Amino acid sequence: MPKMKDKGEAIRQMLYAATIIAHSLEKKGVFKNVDETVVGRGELRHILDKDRDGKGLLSLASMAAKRFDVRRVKTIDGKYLVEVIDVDKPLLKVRRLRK
Amino acid sequence: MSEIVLIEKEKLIIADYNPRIARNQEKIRALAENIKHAGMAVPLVVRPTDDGKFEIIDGGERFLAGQIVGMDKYPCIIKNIPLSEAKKLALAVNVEREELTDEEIAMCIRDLIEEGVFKSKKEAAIFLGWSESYLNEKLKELDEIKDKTIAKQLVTEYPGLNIKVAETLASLGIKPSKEDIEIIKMIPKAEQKTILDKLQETGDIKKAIAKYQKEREEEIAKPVKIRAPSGHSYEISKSDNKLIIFKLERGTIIEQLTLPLSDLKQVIESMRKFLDF
Repeated sequence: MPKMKDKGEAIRQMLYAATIIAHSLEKKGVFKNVDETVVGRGELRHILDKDRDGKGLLSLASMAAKRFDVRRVKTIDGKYLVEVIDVDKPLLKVRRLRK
Repeated sequence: MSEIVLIEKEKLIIADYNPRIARNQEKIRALAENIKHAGMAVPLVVRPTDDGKFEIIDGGERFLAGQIVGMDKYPCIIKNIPLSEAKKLALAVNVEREELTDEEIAMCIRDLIEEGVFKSKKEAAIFLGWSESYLNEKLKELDEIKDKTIAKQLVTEYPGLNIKVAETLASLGIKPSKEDIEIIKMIPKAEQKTILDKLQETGDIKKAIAKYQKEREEEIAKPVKIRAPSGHSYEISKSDNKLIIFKLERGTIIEQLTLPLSDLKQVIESMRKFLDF
């Protein structure tokens, strides 16, 4: 089980996950016609579970949301806002802030 | 002194620009207990929005704690200030409490500079009472997080890519092509690290791969020495798609065999006959 020492670490993990998810959706063309989308467990696993590092990231991001209540984070480039709607399912909302 | 008014919970929203990303649930629960017994002693600071709602500039955690105890109306101080001022105020009140992480502060400042709320890093540093070098330090940490994010993006996109290689690519600002990544991935994951030095030296992914491949070829071309129980020794080397074997006795070449590598079966058969063990 991965460990998470502090709030800063929780924010960093959520930032990594949020950025990877948002940009993966962007590459798939999800934001061509819409500015907002909801991502469920299946899609999250598909995006983050491809590699060992990605796999760890999904559980770390879940832990960040549960333990430190990191529920809303902007991607590292500030282009998207990723919100945790349901931490148990998990369910995320990705909103484009600027093109 | 600003007037305190009661505002319905439906009209209140936590501002998007609130720098706080992580919230302490235990603290919110403790706060809820406190509100339950003593009521909300400190009002929220809010700003009216265009759609008739009020965004909370200060007091997000009190608002969440109030929801736990089922508050319908909240005491608020309404600030009729422009959005840019509200963003500055949200940062100032949170920084003062010293509970924000470096990541939260750095991201908030970066956003405010990019949005033009602060005209420069210097203005942001003066506003926060920090030195400019301290502010730069914080923003630099954000750059490091950015590099790590790009690296994680790469390994997620290209499974099999070593994370250290991805981090180096990100820190050097190199955007590798799909072809470059496919070449690196052909190298065993553990050995991919050997590319790192070459990347640091050249700063170019194609040059680094070419250098690595050249060194590998040179290494493969180095002669291999083996000793047979008969007392003879052999020196095997590869040159121009040919395998050259020297048979030596006390350091002197006594026989030579050259085999074209086109037919591997023939190579093995000839070697078996030539080597006396």
